[in-house]
Amino acid sequence: MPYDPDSDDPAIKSRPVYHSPAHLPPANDYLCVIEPAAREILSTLLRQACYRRARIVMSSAGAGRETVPTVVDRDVWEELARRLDDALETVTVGCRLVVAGSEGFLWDVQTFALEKGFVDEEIVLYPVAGQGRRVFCVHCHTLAEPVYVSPVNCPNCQMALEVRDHFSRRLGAYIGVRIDAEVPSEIPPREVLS
Amino acid sequence: MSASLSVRVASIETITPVIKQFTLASTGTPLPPFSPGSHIVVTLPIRERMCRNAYSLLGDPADNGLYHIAVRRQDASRGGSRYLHEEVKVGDRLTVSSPANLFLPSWEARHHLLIAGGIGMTPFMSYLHEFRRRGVSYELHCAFRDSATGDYRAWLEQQAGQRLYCYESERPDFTRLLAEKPLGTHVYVCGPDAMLQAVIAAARDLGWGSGRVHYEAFAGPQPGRPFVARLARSGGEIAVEGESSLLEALEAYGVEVPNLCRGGVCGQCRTVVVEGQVEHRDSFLDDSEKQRHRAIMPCVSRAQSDTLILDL
Ligand code: FES
Repeated sequence: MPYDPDSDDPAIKSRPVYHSPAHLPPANDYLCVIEPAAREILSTLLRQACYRRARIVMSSAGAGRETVPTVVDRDVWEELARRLDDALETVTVGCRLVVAGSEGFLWDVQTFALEKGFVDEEIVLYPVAGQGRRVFCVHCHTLAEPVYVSPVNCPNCQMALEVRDHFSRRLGAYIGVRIDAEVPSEIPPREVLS
Repeated sequence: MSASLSVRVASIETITPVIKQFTLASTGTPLPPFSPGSHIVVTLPIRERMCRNAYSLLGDPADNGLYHIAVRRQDASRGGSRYLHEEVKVGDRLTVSSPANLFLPSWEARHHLLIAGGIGMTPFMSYLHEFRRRGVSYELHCAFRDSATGDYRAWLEQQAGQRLYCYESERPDFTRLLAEKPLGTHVYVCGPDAMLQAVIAAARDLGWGSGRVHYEAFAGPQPGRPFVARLARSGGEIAVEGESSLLEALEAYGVEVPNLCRGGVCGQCRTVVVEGQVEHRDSFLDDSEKQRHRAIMPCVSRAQSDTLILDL
């Protein structure tokens, strides 16, 4: 399908803003879903909270993160989703879902959790800084991660992509659009992404 | 406001000494379809003034062509229910609004927990028809003040079977009802305000996100002290009788204010107050807004001061 990054797809908005609370919202029961890079953050949060039960599901991804963008490996997610599904079997209403990790991961987990019956106010997101962005190449529909600079070469089609501030909540990714579309091979200097 | 329809009273059934069911049929073009949880507003000519009351449609949404409403006789009310009980006969014409819905089931829910107080079971009667068709998981808890709920209770028993829980005089323990519910459960409550508040508080204490808590107050406007409403922009002055709501008085004067629930819940009728003290009776404005007296929900709220100046 042709992909128009400036379409009015309601799931595409400007950069999301995270209002991550300094302390976990009070609850008896927490389900924590994290990437390895968020271990520190989570343990600090849990140490300051008071609860009856906390369960932690950790993704195997991002452990030794490369700095060169690669095509996002869906198998890692599938494996985590299976473990999450098992955990959700016994979750009852009132549980708070705590998600911490890279931005793309936060949205993957949030989308999954909403489908499984959580509502927005029951979910808190903690982005871990310095994890790079996930970028969606609008030309070959590949997701690349982690991306620290713009422009970046798509790891699949090799196109030089400008990383836009348009964010797709569905994909948990920023939109990447070919930068030398008008004048081939005139590529502006690289910028480090925040 | 939704378009008004002219309907004919096709039949009247006495359900209990205090509840009558009215079946309304079209007088020409077929009645608009409705979704489970919908209500209509019935206009009743009482003496010189118009009284407008909202009633849930309790029939099967798939069986269009007829509207069914249940009217509980409220002796302390402004006369609308008494008028329906005493004056309205089979064959009479009534004016009603098109159905509106502020209480639709959340179809993405995995389990529906329904809680009704007395006549508050009526919106759930339309739910049950649709639930049966869709085969969804639910439980229904009904608290009755008096055991005289006659045919409705029998109907609910037959529809819901094991999923129906009845409470005669004791109030259900809402914290227990809401505890340990599987993820994906939504709760719906329809009944007197005290019951709504108790369920909302129990849900909050147990950590339920408000997105899974749904409620509908069936309390319409209650009578109060007469006062004068002055219209700042058009310059009119309206005497609001004790038996009439401010919204009805405005409508009778020819001022249309958007409205939907006529029960102080939906927020549609919000009107700016220029001067005066409001006696807030709605559940829409938050406490700080109520203290500022700069806004009023005229469908249920009235004046504390003798005069209220409105930005109309
Ligand atoms: S009409 Fe709904 S709050 Fe007044």
